[in-house]
Amino acid sequence: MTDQTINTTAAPAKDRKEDLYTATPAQLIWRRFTKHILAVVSLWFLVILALCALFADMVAPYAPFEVQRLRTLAPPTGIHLFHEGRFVGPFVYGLSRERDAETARVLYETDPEAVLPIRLFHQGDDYDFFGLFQSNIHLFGVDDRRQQINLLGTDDLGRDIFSRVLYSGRTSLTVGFLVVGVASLIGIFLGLIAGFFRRADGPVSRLIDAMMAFPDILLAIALVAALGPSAANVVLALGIVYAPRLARVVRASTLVIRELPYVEAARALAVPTPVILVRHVLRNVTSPLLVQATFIFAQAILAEAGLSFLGVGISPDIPTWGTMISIGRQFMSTAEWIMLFPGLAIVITVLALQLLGDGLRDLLDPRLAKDI
Amino acid sequence: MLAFIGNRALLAIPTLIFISFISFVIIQLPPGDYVTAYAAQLRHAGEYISPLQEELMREQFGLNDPMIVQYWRWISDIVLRGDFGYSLEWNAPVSTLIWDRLMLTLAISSASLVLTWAIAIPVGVYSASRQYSFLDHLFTVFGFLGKGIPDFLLALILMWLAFAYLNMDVGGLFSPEYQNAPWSFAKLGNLLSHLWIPLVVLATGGAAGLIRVMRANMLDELGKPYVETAYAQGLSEARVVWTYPVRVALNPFISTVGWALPALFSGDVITAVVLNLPTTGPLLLQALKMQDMYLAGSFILILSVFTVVGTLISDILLAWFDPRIRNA
Repeated sequence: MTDQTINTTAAPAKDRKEDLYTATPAQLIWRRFTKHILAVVSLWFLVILALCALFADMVAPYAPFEVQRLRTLAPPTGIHLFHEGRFVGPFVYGLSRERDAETARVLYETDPEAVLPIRLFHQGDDYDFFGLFQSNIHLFGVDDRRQQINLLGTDDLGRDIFSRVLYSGRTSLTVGFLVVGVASLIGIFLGLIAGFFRRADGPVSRLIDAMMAFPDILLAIALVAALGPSAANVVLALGIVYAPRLARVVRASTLVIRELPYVEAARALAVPTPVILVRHVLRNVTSPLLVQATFIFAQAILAEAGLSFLGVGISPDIPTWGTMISIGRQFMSTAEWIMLFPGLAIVITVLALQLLGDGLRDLLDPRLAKDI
Repeated sequence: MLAFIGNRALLAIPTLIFISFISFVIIQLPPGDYVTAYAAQLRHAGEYISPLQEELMREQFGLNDPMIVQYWRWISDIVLRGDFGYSLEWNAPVSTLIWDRLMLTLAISSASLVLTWAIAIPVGVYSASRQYSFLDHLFTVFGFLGKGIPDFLLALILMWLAFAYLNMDVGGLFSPEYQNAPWSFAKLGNLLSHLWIPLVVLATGGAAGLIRVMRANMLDELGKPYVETAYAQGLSEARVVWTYPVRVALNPFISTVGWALPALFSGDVITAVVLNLPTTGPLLLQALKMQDMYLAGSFILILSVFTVVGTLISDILLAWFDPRIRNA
């Protein structure tokens, strides 16, 4: 993180080699990581996404459940800069609403007269930020009593898709994160035992094989169905489903580390086995674990969307990307944006996690490591 | 070779036992048991049985026995008599409900596995031998997108596109007019016009990953001295690439056949629900929602057993294909 300053201040070419010797491990890792442009972009994207999800109350212009009866199924609007050839700053056009006499469908036309400038830090609806403070400042909004800014359109109840995608992100990312946590707890435990104790290896490995043989979504649905549908059970079920993958990774690394001299030395010094496991073995399997955890994060987001879509996951009242797609499906032929934007959010997030995982693997896997 | 096969088969047995046990635990997980569900069903129909009768039924069915005894009864019925229990929801033995659907799931999954290979091998080989070309970058983008897009979303989008632009109705396996018609070329054509979406959806996810694997393996192999030797002998590029490095690079394809199956089965369930296909998906989902656990557990058990068998077959194929593994 501090290497940029070093790079700019150090004289080029000549001191480059010396710089390599004096750099701290963290600097070396960061330097190698920044070679993967896609991974760096992904990391930034994920950080921004996580911040947007965390501060969704502030970033989103409207509340996720705010129903607008006079603005149902409004299409997405683009942000414009020029009105009638004149630069007026970012603004959106208002929409005029009409009802088709024959089909009774609501039609929206952009109203070229209604120019709605986008105001930053706009005072809008009140919200309660995690019960910590109350505010009504939104990142952006428009000053008009009758018009709204719906960048990504609205759904059948007139709820703002952009706001809902952000709030859904909060749920989906939290679920993904917790799944990784649960899977890590189970996976590390099983993997360490199978890898470290020869006698336990056989049975635990067969158990891992058996768990891996279950189709992941099916096992998750079965567990959720059996335990009862709730967010906590979805996390638990997906955690159980993905634990064996982490267990395999931990086991494989532990098998190697178990034979290393420092473990033998620790044993000779009568260090208790649990301490050896945590301090000497676990600490050295963190890199493959981290890589695998990134991939499982991506998988968990996909799986949670699938479960919510099938209606066996989190309650449909809580907005997640999966439930949004499942709602949007009914309007697929008339208002495709309801389904497409949460879908796009899933695709981009999963993509970013995959690219980040690829970057981390190149970075942390010594077999694949190339010259700096 | 025989010893290798025997060894692998023996290793599969404890895995199968674990699988059956986990399936049984899933069947037993929901609160209440068969008799509670049966009593509820009777009440729904306006009849009534007393708690004493319920208790007698429990005794009769052996539901008060320890779990391990019940497990043994359940699994021995399956293995010895092919009896998977009784579906309360459908009022029929489970074994009469599942096989048609399982076979269709297996057929669709195998077909999409073949399609996955048919896409991944040529594309992977091309990407590796023309590294950093325009098409290589294009395939890389496709590979990442294919892994990122959820199955059900892809199915929905393809369905929408087929409906909106090709004017095709793609739900189900057949159009209504062919539903009960005898088999003919027209019916086969109709089946294929419905089946391409699930096949494409299932193949995309797998192909996306395998293209990356194939490309990486090929890049490793293409840099090896034997390839240079082959070129030096004056062989054409097609001959060099397809005869030697491809054979070596194919190993992970064969070894992942078994592991590809669970992903395909999972994808099949979701895709089938979206497209309303008569595979395991919709029935299994309904069974789980209704807590019709014998039906659901049987589906899960058999699909997982398919996976173990698939893994066994892929191990054997790999040994047959690659002497280094056979003799290791």
